[in-house]
Amino acid sequence: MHKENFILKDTFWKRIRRTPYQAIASVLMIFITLSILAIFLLLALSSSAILSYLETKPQLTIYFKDEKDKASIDKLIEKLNSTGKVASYQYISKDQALGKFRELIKNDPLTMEMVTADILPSSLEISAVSPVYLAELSEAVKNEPGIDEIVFQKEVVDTLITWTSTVRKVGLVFIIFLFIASFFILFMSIGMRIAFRKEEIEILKLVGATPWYIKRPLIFEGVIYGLIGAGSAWLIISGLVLYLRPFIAAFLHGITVLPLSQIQGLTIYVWPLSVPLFVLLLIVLLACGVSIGLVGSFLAVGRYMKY
Amino acid sequence: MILFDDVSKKYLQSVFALDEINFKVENGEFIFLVGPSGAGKTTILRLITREILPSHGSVFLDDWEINKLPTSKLPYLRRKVGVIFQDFRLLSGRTVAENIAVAQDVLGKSKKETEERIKEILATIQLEGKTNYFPKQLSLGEQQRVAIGRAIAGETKVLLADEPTGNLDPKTSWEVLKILNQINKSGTTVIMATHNVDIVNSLKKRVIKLQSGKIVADEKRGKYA
Repeated sequence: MHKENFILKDTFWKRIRRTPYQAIASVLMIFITLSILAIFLLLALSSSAILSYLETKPQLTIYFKDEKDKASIDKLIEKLNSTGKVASYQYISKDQALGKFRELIKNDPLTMEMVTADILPSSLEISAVSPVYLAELSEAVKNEPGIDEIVFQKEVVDTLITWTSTVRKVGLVFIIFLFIASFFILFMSIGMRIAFRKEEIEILKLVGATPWYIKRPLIFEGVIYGLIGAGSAWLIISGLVLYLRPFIAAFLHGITVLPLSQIQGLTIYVWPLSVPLFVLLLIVLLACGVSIGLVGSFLAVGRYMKY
Repeated sequence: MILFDDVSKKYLQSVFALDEINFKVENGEFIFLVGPSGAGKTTILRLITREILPSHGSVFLDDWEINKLPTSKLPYLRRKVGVIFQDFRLLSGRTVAENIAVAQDVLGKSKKETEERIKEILATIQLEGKTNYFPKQLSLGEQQRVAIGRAIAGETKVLLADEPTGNLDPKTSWEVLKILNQINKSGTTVIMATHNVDIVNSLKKRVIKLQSGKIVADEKRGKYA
């Protein structure tokens, strides 16, 4: 009969049964908001991881007309380093180029016999601090003597940078809008619940209930809505991602590992799909769900319940 | 002790619900507030529970000046002052025991303490056999007894009764009065606003008569003519 808050005792499910549509609307809105948040979050994380992956690969290759002597290579490297935008570099001589090429065509002995070191150019492979500096680095050295061609994955990188930036911006605007909508629906739902229970709340005040005693179950209710919305969003989105795994694999052809970050020695991978990624998603969604529930219900009780 | 010191209450600019009234109620007294509708009886009770504030003057409960009490202290005032109404105001979805338990629950009492207190209260209001009944399963007199039980279940020092017999037949009214008298004898101050002439005249308690917001009579063993 006792030791729980008297209103709390009027169980959550009992209250949902009394006014099911407001409860469903609140949970549904939080669910939609958090599902979209989850989608944008996964897209943002994936594109960041792909960007990081590309950053680890040589992004700019300078091909030379002839084999360069050490002095002129050092001079070129010094010029590139002076920009402060070079992360790493590697000189590939004609012989090394031949070794690499042979490795690539090892299943084609006829071609292997035809190719000699003379016809392959020496090159300098450069990784930039950020892909946005590639064009600038290319511009800095293109007029240097002895350079035959400069190749970099400009289009791929540019597209990815644009995509990542768009996902972040659109996602942020969309999520802010949905968060506000969720707050308002929860705010109205809790407000109506307060109106329905006006008489009961008056009685509680008359017998000496503190404001917190009266408000606590309503705030608890908001938090439960948030948790249910977050849990459902996580289940649906996780299921969807697992279902789409073969399509994602096809989309990422060639990329086998996409690490996101390391937390206390534990590497979280965006690809292949890993348990820590789903745990991270669950934590983010639950935190957002609880925040929406807490803030929405706090605002509602503050607005509609005066002591 | 309750003290009304030069208290006035205006609801509108020129309408006085109470007009400069002064009276003192000692601990353990039983007082009837009588007078026609609109005389100011309910206003006095609502000033004691701080549901409203006086326009002028001060209301005291022991050392507390009620009208100056910070909002954060209101729950503690209301735990000392129980109230019952003509329309009972019970929680329809709760049993008799649960309706009474609410006053213990807000005090944070343990399950054991609450159950023991409910037993005592049920004995006082003579509803031992109806612990798990819902209000709609009870007669009007029984519902009022549950309301009394809830009002005295906490740390009640003063019981305010606003026309508690207004909806009851004479026989049931006397049953309720008997319980209120018994509660008063155990030390609780009782202030009852009523129109019931028979009850007032038979009990021979202190009677404060109000008319148009003024006290027109205050007699130790008064009558309601």
